[in-house]
Amino acid sequence: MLAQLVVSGLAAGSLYALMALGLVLIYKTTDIVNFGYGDMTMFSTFIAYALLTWYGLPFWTSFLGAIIAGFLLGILVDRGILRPARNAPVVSLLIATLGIGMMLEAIAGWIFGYDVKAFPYALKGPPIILGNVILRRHDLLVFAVAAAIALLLFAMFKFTDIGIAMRATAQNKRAARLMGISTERISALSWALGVGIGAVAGVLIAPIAFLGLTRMIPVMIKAFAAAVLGGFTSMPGAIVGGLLLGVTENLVSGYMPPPLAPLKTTFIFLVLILVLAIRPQGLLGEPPGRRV
Amino acid sequence: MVRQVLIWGGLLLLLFLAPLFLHGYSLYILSLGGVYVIATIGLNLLTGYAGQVSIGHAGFLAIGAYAAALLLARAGLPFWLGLPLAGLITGLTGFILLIPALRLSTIYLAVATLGFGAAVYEILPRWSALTGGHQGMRLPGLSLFGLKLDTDMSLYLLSLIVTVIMILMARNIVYSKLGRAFIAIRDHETAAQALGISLPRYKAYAFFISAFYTGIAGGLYAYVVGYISPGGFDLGKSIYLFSMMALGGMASIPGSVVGALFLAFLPFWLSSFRGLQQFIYGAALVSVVVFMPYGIWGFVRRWTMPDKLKRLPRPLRAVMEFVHR
Amino acid sequence: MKEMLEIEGLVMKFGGLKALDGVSFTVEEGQIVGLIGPNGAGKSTVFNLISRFYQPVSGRIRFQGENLLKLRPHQVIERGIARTFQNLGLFPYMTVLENLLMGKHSRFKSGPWSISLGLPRARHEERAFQAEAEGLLNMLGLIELKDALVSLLPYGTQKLIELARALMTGPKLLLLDEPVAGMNTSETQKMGGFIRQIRDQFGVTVLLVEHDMSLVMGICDWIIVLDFGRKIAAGTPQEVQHNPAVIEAYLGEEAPLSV
Repeated sequence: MLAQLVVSGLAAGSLYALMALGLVLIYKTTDIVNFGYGDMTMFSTFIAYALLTWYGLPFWTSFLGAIIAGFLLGILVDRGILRPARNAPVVSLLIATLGIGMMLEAIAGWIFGYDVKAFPYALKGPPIILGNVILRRHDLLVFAVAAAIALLLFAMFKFTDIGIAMRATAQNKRAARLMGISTERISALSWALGVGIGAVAGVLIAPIAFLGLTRMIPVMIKAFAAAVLGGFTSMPGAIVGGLLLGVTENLVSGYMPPPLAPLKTTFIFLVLILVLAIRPQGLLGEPPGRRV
Repeated sequence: MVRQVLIWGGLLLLLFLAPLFLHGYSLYILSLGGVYVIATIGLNLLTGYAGQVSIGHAGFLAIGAYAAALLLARAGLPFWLGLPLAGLITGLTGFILLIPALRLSTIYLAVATLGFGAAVYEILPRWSALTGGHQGMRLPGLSLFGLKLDTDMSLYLLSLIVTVIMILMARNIVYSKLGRAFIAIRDHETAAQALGISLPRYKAYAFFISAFYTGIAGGLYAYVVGYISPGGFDLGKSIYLFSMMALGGMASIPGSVVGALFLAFLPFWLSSFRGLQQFIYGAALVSVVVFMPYGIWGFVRRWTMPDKLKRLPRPLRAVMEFVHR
Repeated sequence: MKEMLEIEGLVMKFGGLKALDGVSFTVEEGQIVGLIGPNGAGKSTVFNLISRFYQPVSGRIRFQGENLLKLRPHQVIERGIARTFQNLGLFPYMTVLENLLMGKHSRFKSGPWSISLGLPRARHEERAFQAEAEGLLNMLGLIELKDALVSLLPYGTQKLIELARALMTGPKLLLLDEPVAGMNTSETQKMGGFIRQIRDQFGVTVLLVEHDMSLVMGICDWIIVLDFGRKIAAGTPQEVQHNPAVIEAYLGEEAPLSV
């Protein structure tokens, strides 16, 4: 049972990790915490839904459509709304992302309706059995996709010019600009990637959690917890945090006595607080500097 | 000074006489407005003034509401004891967040508060013995020494009186060493300490007072609506409160009032078209950020500069801007 | 002359870096003492240790005979030590008056209850301290700025206000961290005169960190020179100016000691 719980936990955790990755990516390069992330993810997933059920496109094309929608949405948010508000205090920009999320929710409601919809699994077929552990094919896909995206990002940051430029902007925006890096382009790229990753996560979450206007919110809360757990400034941390969270959640469900078992979110946050009590900067975050 | 007293006195009188020309439902809406004003002030004191970001404040609202409901329904305490007590109980739970607040920096603290809100939301329906579970609790009517206070009018007057008291108290807090200490902690923790401000002590004050205010708001909510359920205290509610604060003006008492009333009344101005409310709500938040980064009140203040500024020498006056208050 | 501040064998490390390596010096009551040295010498570290933002690896700090190292940062002001900050420790969204009132924070006796309820005692204290702040502003000729937002004022004025705020605390010892940084000659002279006036008129002892040698040589009774975390010289301005070790430490900097 333990192995099953852990493996399923890793599957769920990979999804949290993906979303946490998107959050941290945007935060690192633009200093903005995207509170509208759940809504943006939901919206991109709805695009996939529309392509799938209204236009009858094949699944993978629709998936790609969602990702492209995510990219475009990210760029739109960055250029259209956050750019003009650039000089507002950071807290205000957070609120702007919240507002954007709300508008997206309203628009999605108008276009797609208010009821919760079913969403197909990416991979259908009999589950795979490895020893005592049962894995859905979908879960395998989730592992593969999460690993692929993580590796791609890693490669991008380490080996490509644009990736290095992004790292530079994340560390010191002004210096990056002085070095000739167009921080505006980097910002748009980060948003595009961040929301795009969200779209991927959304399409993979929707079959499990169903697709609805507010169905992404619990996931988003956990994504935040995962990002903070790993250290909000660390992308590997986001992955570690996500996986850890998924596993913890499952272990709680499995081993806690019945009255306490459903309190998954509470326990996750207790774990989070515990970790932060020992390491206030998260597992892999930068240690807090003392500025006097 | 005299002019100010006349304006506010007049406004207050108008509000007290409202039951004469407004009917039940409007009074009910105004009562709810008062609830949110108090809650927003509570959040603003903690986040706007003291800089401790809280995105789980609905948790305190819930604790206050349930505490008030239980004290009334199960312990049989009269409301004028139950409400302050509910506030006190909620204030004490504020200390739960104090511990993370002392160790964690902004984004980490914010997520911890998110966790608090999520935990309260998760625990409430499952502690059915105490809270009545998902179905919620119905409150018995309020009475004052035998007099039943269950009409819209009496609840409105209760809400009005409590709101006014809480606003006056907030003004006392803000224009004092306490309020200034909060701002100092927000803007320059180190200088604050060098001037004698003990961070644990003052953050404790901030969390207690904020939770107390929100608890009172929660209790009042329970009395006014007469029925509470866990569903009303979710993340959306926390964000609702946060938006009221941000929209109206952070670190501003009039801003809290403006923001709270604006968003509380919004559904009633746009009731028909579903989704329109939410869209306008979202659009309002975004516009405020772009055009009025310091909230509606900050924007208003700029255009109604007080006389004091006119006494400043010319070059400074040209440069002056009152953005916070 | 009484010893006001005694620093003994102060050692401070940040990670592997040794910022202070056994620094010792004394500040006597009524003196204006300058703490100078090239960048990175450890001057601000000494201040931050006195302010108790850091805990030294070893060493002692005594203020009027009392061991300062057992205090938490917010308790330092109660002993009578006030300070200014290198990068301005003013509260940007408060007015000049409010910033000055912050100086009186440690003197307010009213607690949160009397404040929230608006009790007469709290109101009275607030009014009294406001009057005191206005009095100080009058003396400095800055009264018309009392309701101005500090962050919008000229830099030199801000520095003056920060110093005024430190004065409001009624200190026995003032720690000034680069009080004339970024000021021009005339502003520096005015500030220097003001610091001297504070010592002469209010009997406040001053320890200042500065790079501006015209100020240091002009108003300090005693100068301590640090380099790489060690004290390399101590003496009167005359003595220090001609000390070969000091001159060598500053070699490479633009004629710092010629005044």
